[in-house]
Amino acid sequence: MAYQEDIALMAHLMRRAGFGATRDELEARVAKGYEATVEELLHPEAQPAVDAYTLLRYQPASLLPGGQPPMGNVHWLYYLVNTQRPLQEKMALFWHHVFATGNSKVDNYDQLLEQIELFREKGLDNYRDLLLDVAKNPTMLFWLDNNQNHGTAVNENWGRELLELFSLGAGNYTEVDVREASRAFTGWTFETKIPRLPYGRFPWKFQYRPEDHDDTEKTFLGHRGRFNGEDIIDIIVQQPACGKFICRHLYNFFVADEPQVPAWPIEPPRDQKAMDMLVGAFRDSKFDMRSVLRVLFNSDAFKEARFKHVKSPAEVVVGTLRFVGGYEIPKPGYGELSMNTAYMGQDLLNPPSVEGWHTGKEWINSGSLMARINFMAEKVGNTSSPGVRGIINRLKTRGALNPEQLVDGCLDLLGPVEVGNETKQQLLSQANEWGQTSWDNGNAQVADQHVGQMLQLIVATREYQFA
Amino acid sequence: MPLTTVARGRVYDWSHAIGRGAATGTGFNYPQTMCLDKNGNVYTANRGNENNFGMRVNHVKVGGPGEEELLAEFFQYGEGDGKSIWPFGVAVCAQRDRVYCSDEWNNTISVFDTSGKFIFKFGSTGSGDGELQRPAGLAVESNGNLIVADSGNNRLQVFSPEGKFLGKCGHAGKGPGEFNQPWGITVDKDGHIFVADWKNHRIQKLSADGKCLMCLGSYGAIQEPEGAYGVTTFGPFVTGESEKAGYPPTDRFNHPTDVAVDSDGDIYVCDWGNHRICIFDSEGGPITTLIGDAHALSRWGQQSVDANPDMMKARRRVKSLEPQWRFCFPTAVDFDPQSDNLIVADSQRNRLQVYKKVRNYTDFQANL
Amino acid sequence: MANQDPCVVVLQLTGGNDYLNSMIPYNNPLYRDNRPAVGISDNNIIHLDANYGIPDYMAPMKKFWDENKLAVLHGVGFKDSPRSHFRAMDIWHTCEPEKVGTEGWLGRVAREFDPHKQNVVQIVSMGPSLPRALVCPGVPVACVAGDLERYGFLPTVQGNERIQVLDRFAKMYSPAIGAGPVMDYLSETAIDSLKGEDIIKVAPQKYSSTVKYPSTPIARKLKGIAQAHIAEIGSRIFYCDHSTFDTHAGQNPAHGNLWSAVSQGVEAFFADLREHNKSDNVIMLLFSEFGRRVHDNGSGTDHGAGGVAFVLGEKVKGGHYGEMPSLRPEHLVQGDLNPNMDFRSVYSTILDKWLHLNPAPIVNGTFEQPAFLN
Repeated sequence: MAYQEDIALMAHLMRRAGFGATRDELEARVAKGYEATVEELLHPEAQPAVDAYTLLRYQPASLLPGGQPPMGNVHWLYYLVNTQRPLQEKMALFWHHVFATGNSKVDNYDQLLEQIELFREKGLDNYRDLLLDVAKNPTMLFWLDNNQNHGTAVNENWGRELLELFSLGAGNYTEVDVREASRAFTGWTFETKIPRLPYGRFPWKFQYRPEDHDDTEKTFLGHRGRFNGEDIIDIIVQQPACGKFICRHLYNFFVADEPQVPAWPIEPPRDQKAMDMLVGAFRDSKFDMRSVLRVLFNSDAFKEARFKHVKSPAEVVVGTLRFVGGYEIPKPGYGELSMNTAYMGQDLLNPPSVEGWHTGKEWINSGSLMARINFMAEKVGNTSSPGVRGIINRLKTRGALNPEQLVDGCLDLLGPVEVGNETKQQLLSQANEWGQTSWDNGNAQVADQHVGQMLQLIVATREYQFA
Repeated sequence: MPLTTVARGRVYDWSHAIGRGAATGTGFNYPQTMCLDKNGNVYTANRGNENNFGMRVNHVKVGGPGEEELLAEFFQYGEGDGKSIWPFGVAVCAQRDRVYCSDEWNNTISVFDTSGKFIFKFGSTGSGDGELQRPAGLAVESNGNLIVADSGNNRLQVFSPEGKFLGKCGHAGKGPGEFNQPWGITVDKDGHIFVADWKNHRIQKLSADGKCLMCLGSYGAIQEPEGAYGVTTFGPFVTGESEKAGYPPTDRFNHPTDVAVDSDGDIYVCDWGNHRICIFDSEGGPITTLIGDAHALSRWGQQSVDANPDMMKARRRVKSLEPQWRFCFPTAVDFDPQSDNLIVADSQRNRLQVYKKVRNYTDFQANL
Repeated sequence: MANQDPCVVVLQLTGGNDYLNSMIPYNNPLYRDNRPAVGISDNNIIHLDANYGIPDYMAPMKKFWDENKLAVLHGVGFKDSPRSHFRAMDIWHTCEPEKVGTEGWLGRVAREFDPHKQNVVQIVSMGPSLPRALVCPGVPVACVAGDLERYGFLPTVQGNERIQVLDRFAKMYSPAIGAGPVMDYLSETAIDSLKGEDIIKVAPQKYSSTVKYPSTPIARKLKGIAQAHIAEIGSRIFYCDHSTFDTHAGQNPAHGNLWSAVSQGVEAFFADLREHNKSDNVIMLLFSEFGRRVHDNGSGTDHGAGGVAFVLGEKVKGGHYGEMPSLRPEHLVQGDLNPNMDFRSVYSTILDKWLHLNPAPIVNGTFEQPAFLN
């Protein structure tokens, strides 16, 4: 079944490089070809952007949502669910993981959304340029206290996290380097903005204040000079550790779950060969993310990593909503909808700390597992949603289905999903209760229900928690 | 930025701002549409947010500087008579002392007396005659009939004061008399209907029986000048130099939401996505644009600042307050022929800005 | 398990409760001066004593006060209050005013009680989200999104079918040989959750009461907590919240509606526990992330600093603890009451005197303990 294999591979690509795809979309993409699809994903600018004006018409409060959820979450969820540039949003999510910045301190979703917009626009371009933009991003400057990093009184928060969490990883620099990097970023701050009362929020603007900058000589990672922040970034990206750190993040996010970041200095990568390949692409392309991702998605390591990654709550929620459909025009309740990732342990725009979220199996605890299964089950159980109708319509054309055909059909059209023996047995025994599923002779409603319930059981399986 | 705008024989003097951000009571929460009552005061339909906060129609006294006053509020969030999920349109029928309000989630029109007491409602979801799909702007004709911008069905529908379907015009499309999600509508003193054809980026002037007489404007979006301060990602952009840098020519619109006609026949287009009011003569000839000049705080706004010393402190440290003067996604414009007030609902700033069209303006000596 | 284990119920007043209108210094002329628009008029104030009163919409609290079972904690907060809901709430939850904390104080309590997480319903939180106060690695929390009856996997499957479907679900999650550590972990977690579901759903089945709760969201949550507590399922920490106290505009009547719901809910809750003779081992903490601005803004009040917290229960020693910070203009900080009791003091008393735990590692420091518990 070569075609079936193509579908399965394309489904894998779309789950990882995007948020899944319906069977219609998978078939169209298979017709276009795998590599062509990768290229299309890598060039989001060729696809139409999300219609922000439609969002604003219906939800004007999502433009400058201020500090209170859920309007900020509504804004990003609308983009995630409706984008025709899935890799662009996925990369925004990736960088949000890496450059984790949160509302818990920023208290301003406007600024967080502006940061996401930066990731959206530059996330597939050059890492060095992005890092520089992040260093000038007022939201980041505030989050890591660089507005309090003065020539006369150094605050090391940004300087430290820049090295530890944003570029090199622990163990690849000394305390002296932290100090010197911090000094180089003194004077990088933002202008006082018009306060939120009485007319709502205004954004920050980056400001460089030469009189607050320590312009004396610094020694950083073996280099010596009167470095400013940009010089520090240029030195950082040349370090071999930088490519290894960023590529390990990419591998963990797109290929297969790695241990948590703090363990990286101790535990070797899961697949050293794949890592070498990514790091090489990073170096050879002079830090071009698009080039690295092209290598990644076309590699055997990626293609063979099916279901080696526990879905993040964002993947669960966005993937489910895109799959069931019907969210193109905002509607009341979008706010509550947008809080669901938080219920599953991933409060978007509000990560628990600058370390971002712990991924892989750490997404799962008793509360979050219940939240994710119940969310998915509720959505796929709605047999009037466009996505579920799509599955039903395809199954219908196959005539009456025996229990095995029903189970296989649902597993196929929901993924294809691969399940273990015990799971398959349980699904089958459920289907056996129903006997044949047929849409003839006025049985359509019952048949729809069978499909809905089977889909509910499938999304509740262990296997379905993986992407 | 000038407080007095002089162009082609017209003079507009910025008068005052009204309101502040507030989910209830003295202020606004994302007004979508606005209409004048017979005393020159306004009703606005506020959209609120996803915490089910702020939805309402409020009735606010316009007056002169510092005279703003909350007269009534109604149509708050909720199910049932007199409540709304997604308020959008509001229109006053002066003869009958009524206020019509549309709810674009329930697809109904609710009718209130001028103090906000619920009378009845009509409308149901669908695309048939008299059925509604996301009803947006409303306007009342001189005969008392109600015109509804039936935005999801891309048409106008006319109802009797009792809510009986009387007629319709338009369908989806780009040609004259066709619409793409119309937003605000207005009826001039001669009975012409003006429609903000939102997604077609133009204004259409229709005869009373629905024939297209004029299409005004085409698409053109604000651009971000190099180094400018973006008040939002979508503008407005403040450069500190040329105040209209980045704004497109007067007859280029970006999702226009409303239109008004003054007693001289001049036309005011609320160019939402370009954050401005575009002014035309009655033939559609461009005159000038207004981009917002709110130098002085509204009365309620001043109260907020006075109660919050840290806000005052921050305001004193700001390099320029110019970003606060500007319109940010204005949604509605009205002209009051009695006072010559031009009133703009400055939606993202949750305030109104009031200009006066000045007659008999004598210029000062240039060599002062 | 011992039925007399002390339990804590936290009721979070989300959004910033207005201190001055919840504990009114009615003799202080500065109160009137600062509250031209939202002040409570004299005939709507219920006097607690010669200095303080509560608005009539908090009337049920007066009964607890008269029984000497309501402790009022004045001027609660922390230095350099950020006036941001989220930052302030985080500080209350994590006891980390200086940095972004990741562990919640009650999560740490649960870890102390049950380091091997044998009790999967140690913490019951009424609501879909997990408050950061309850977060602690390895500590399970039962987040009950709706009613207790509906708690569990696949709540849309009900009736006879449910037993069968959950049985299949359990089998699908049974450990499989060679499935790998992540699959095994998923199994273990799901089985734990099923265990919790079995325990929790017993509570409403066993419950019967003559107490009628009002039909408000907070009363519904408190009723769920009462059911779980009365059923003695082993829960020690209960969490719920009511919102939004963020009364920037239209504070009257908004503040009244909020407090009517809260105080009537609390009244019903304790009446219920007393009816079942299960109130002795419960205390309730009511707190908010900050108080509100002293001077009103013409319609409401904006974000402030120092606030008021309440602790009530049979074993609580009623009365005032600490003093209301000065309202005099020269003593205000950015127009706000300057907090004079660290919030961790309140926690410390509860931890030390009620839960018998060493407070220092939980609240990150040693703080004076107001003596509202013996």
